[in-house]
Amino acid sequence: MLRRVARPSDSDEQLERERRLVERAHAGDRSAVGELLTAHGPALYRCVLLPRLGSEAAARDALSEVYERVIERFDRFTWQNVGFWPWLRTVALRVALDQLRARKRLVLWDAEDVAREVDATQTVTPVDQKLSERRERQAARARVEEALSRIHPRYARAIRLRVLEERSREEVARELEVSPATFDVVLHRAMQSLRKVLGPPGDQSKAPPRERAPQDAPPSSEAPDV
Amino acid sequence: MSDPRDRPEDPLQPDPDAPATDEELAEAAKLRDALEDPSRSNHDAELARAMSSAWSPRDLSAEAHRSLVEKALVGRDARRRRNRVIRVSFGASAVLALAAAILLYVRSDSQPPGTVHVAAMAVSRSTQALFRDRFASSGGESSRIDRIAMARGADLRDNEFAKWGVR
Repeated sequence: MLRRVARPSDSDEQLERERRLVERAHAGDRSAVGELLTAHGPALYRCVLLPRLGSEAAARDALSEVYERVIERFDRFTWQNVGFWPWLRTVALRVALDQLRARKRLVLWDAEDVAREVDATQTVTPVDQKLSERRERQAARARVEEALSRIHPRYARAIRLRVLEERSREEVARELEVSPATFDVVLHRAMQSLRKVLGPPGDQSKAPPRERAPQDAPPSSEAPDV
Repeated sequence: MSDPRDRPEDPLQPDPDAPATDEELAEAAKLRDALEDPSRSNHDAELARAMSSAWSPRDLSAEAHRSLVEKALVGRDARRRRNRVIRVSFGASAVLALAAAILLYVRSDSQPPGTVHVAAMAVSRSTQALFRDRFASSGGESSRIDRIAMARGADLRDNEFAKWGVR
């Protein structure tokens, strides 16, 4: 199957501008590295790190670690006309993988999921940031839906309304036709049920194998050793 | 894909609206409070926030992001400076150590081994020099022993000073 070939969705000029930044960065220009990080960092945080790590503090720490690694190992990056994003995303996945392996908290992704994604970066054709962002968002939402589909529909609805749609406790209670106090119990049971289907962190039996999401990645020759 | 809400209920799952136990009421209250106040630690609230982060991730503020970029860039410079200081210190120490080693080698090489200290040391010798006059065949042993002990004590001190290089 033909995959979409990585091209900058905005313009060739944008890619060319990025190439020049990379050149300057390789020549030791600190501000050029800063510009590259500033251009891609917010999307990296929003689409790669935060969904996988599940907490803003953890994602912020991870982004900081990604920047350190990028700066430290920038000389290993070779420009290959697919832009800076695929390399940066792979670095971020590896940092996320390290964090997931070290943690005990339950999140939607576990270390094995991210390890598979890192493996995929070796083989899948890279795409630019915008397409990658769209795919990441779809994959994250599909993961949430998949988890909710495995618990009682009433529990799923409670979580959907209160957690995903961020509606007030009282409003959700009205919607479910219970008192707010009863809704608290329903939500507690819903989270317990969700916890059961997700399993403890690192439990490989917790979920059926998920289809590998098409992700952007550097080709193998460009895969960063990070 | 069929809507999961249309599926028949799983008989193995508990009734969501069954009466709550005291423990459940307490846990439900903790979850409610933790969802209202993120500073409160609660596993279920953390999982809820993880779901929310995956569903609709929020942006990092521009200011927070700028500070992360600056920290990383400044950190690199600081690491470079630190590495440079370590390399310079290590290099200087190595040069000094090498110079000291050469100096020791040259000094020790300029004289035959052992001659410096041996020449300066008092060597074992007869006590005859201490007693020029003949002494009586009986009596006076203690004073003779004292004289020998004093002479050898002086030799011992001299040898120690010679070894310490303070003579």
